[in-house]
Amino acid sequence: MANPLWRRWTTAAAGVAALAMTAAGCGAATTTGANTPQVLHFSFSSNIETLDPTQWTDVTSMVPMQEIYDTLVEYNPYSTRLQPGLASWTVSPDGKTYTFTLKKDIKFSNGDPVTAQDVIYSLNRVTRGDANSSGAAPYGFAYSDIVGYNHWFNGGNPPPAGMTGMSGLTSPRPGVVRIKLKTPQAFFLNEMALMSAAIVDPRVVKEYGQNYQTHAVGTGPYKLASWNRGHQMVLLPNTTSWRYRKGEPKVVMDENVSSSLALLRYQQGDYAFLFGPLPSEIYAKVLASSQLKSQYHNVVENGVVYLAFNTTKAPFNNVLMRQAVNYAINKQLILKNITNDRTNMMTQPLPPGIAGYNPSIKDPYPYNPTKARQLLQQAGYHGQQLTFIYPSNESDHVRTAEIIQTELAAVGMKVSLVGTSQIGNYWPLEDNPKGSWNIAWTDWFQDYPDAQDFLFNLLSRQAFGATNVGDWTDPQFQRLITEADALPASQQAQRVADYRQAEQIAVQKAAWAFLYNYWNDALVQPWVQPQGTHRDLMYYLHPVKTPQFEFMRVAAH
Amino acid sequence: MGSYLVRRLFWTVITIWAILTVTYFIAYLVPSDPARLIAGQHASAATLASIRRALGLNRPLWYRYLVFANQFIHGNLGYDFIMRRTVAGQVLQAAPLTFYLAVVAVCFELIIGIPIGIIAAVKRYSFVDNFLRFLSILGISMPTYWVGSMLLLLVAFKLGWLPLGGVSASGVILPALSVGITGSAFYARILRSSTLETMRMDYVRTARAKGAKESLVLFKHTIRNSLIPVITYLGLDLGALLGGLIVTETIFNWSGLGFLLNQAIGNDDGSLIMGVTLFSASAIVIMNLVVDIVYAFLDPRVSYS
Repeated sequence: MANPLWRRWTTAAAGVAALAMTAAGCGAATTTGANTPQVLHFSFSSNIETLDPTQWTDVTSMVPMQEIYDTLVEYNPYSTRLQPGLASWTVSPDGKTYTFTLKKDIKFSNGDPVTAQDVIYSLNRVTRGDANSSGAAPYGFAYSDIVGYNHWFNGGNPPPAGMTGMSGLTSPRPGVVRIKLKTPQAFFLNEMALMSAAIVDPRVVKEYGQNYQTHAVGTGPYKLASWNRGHQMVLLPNTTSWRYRKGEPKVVMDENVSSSLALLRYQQGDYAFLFGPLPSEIYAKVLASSQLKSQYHNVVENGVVYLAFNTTKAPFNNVLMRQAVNYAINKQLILKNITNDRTNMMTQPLPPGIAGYNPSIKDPYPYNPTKARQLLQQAGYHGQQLTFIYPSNESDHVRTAEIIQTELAAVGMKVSLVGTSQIGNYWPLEDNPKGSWNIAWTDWFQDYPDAQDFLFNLLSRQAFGATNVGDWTDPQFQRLITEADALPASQQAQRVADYRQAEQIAVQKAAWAFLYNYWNDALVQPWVQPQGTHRDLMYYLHPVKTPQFEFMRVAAH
Repeated sequence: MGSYLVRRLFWTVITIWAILTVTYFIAYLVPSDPARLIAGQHASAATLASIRRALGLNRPLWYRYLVFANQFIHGNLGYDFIMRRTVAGQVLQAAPLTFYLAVVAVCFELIIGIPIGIIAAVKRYSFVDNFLRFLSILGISMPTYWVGSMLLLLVAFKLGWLPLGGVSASGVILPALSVGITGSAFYARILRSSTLETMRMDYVRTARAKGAKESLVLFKHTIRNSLIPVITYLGLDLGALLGGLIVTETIFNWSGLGFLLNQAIGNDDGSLIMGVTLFSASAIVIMNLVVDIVYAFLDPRVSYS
């Protein structure tokens, strides 16, 4: 659909629609009376995959889940500071025991009271999945430092009689949950704020089994009204929630609507926002319209886009080869042509918003094809064929991959492109039946804003064959991150120092080819307004949270 | 006729089996790891291993193929990777929508195509004929996605007469019309040439000679006979539409089979791709069979001894 004619038509039509909307404005204003619920209507370009914390992996699913469920700990609505969610907490001096005290008289939206046993059930369930989640509990590993995890994870499904969960999870008295860890972890509270740690109602899970998804119940400010899977989900205010804010709008989310169609509906005034990140062809239309430009918002996110190297074999087990690729890629060109300068160039594994980011590292590998050629020669590369595996599901990715292929060819590297459906869906290195790739386009979006989430998951030995896509490792790097990961939050300064040093090593040893940081952007209608004291656009573009509907109000329009 | 049916049914089964096999192995050639698709990018090695075990992905390819074929025979298409719902259930949910759209689309094709074909034949080589032939070449040349986008922009967005995509009673009009506009050209051309051919037949001359009115000659003697190739094409067309509305359904957010397939390909969801492909291919193969049989009833000269 990306042909120039279509674009011109849209731009012309946008003007006409704007006039029409102005003309119709007076009549429409009366429809949002005091008793008719206000509606936030918008769409996703993909499915909402799940409402079950055991199956949760993606940002889209997080949008409704964040509103339906609560976690024990949550992020402040305006910042990345952690604050009590369903519970307040204390930490033992050795940093290994957390005691959570649940808020009093909290009820699920179906009226069931929330108990300490429900919390324990939810955490045990997400650690291993249950019979209904086909053996997959993608975020179970996040709780693997709780005492008794291994025994429980390997216990079989269903678990043997008598085994009820991890021994590190106990309730010393009603309303209190105690969690014992094997080692102290500064980021444990962040893990308790993940959607996977959402508290579910065990009675509802057991009652609906396989159909739990469409009957999900939580304690959040919204409740699920209906879900026609793959098409539309409707959320209604949960007036009994402790997070409920008077006057919450109803939320209607369409699934699988292409961004071109979504833009038309947005321009027609049907959609409250255009959910980002916007594809570059949509962004081009935004730039072409002063009205859309005034409704456009953008932030750089805690996410990275990079190329991983298969370091388990030649030639990329050689640091010179990896450095050569870094020098050969013109990152500024990609930033300008693909992202339209909507984000930063990536200079190191951590994005700028994460403590541990090393500001002294600035463009470590400036574009230098001559240097790249020299390094290739030193490395003894003589034009052997290399495979570059990349996600071909988005036109922007295809264009980027082609630019990179051309640039590598310019310094003498023979690279063949292999498209795959989406980022991260690659042949695993450990049991690869089809011959290996050499370069893989990879990305990472924070689970929580802590350096450990990036460096441990993406570059540690423990993550070989999984999230450390190319199995890169370095002894000194490994030592530094292992030390920093095990320090309690009280020693944050030491942690940051360790991570900064580790960053330096990953950059020098060219662990990856660094491309750019992720960004998020959105079009938001002027009639969507923050409730109360909510500042700026934090209710929409929060650094960790997805849009917080409870803080949005629909003005007359 | 009986032995013909048996032979045709036999080859229908063989064709579907061939489709199953080819699709299965093509799906395997794509560099993709279902365990990663299910677990997401952030999963640990232990989680990935447990999913591979649960799905039997650690078994050899031929073994998985046999398991799949066996399930298919029993009407079980397995579960999709992303949402873990039954594939058969999703296909059966989407199929009626595609069927509805395809039938309305074919109606539009006929409503537009038949009058154009007849007028072009009756007024052959005139300005009207040339103009209509130009229109039909234009129709064939315009890609559906372009016509669809234009209809969306003009009728739904600018004029606001019909919904901007989505499934609804009136929402079927624009997608069906965009298929109708581009598809009608084929009908017009087929009907024009078959009408011209029929007009030269002896029985038409006889009808005229016995003094029948021109309209009677045209509608009773000529057009009824020249519709036979149109009906043949209609069957094949309907079969193809049932399996091939990917672009139209995606543009109009019409959640039928093509829409489902597009999503499945985008997600590299092997089992869903297999399910939709097998269903659509079977629809085409079966429509072919039906056309051949109907043909025999329509045209007494055709015999299958």
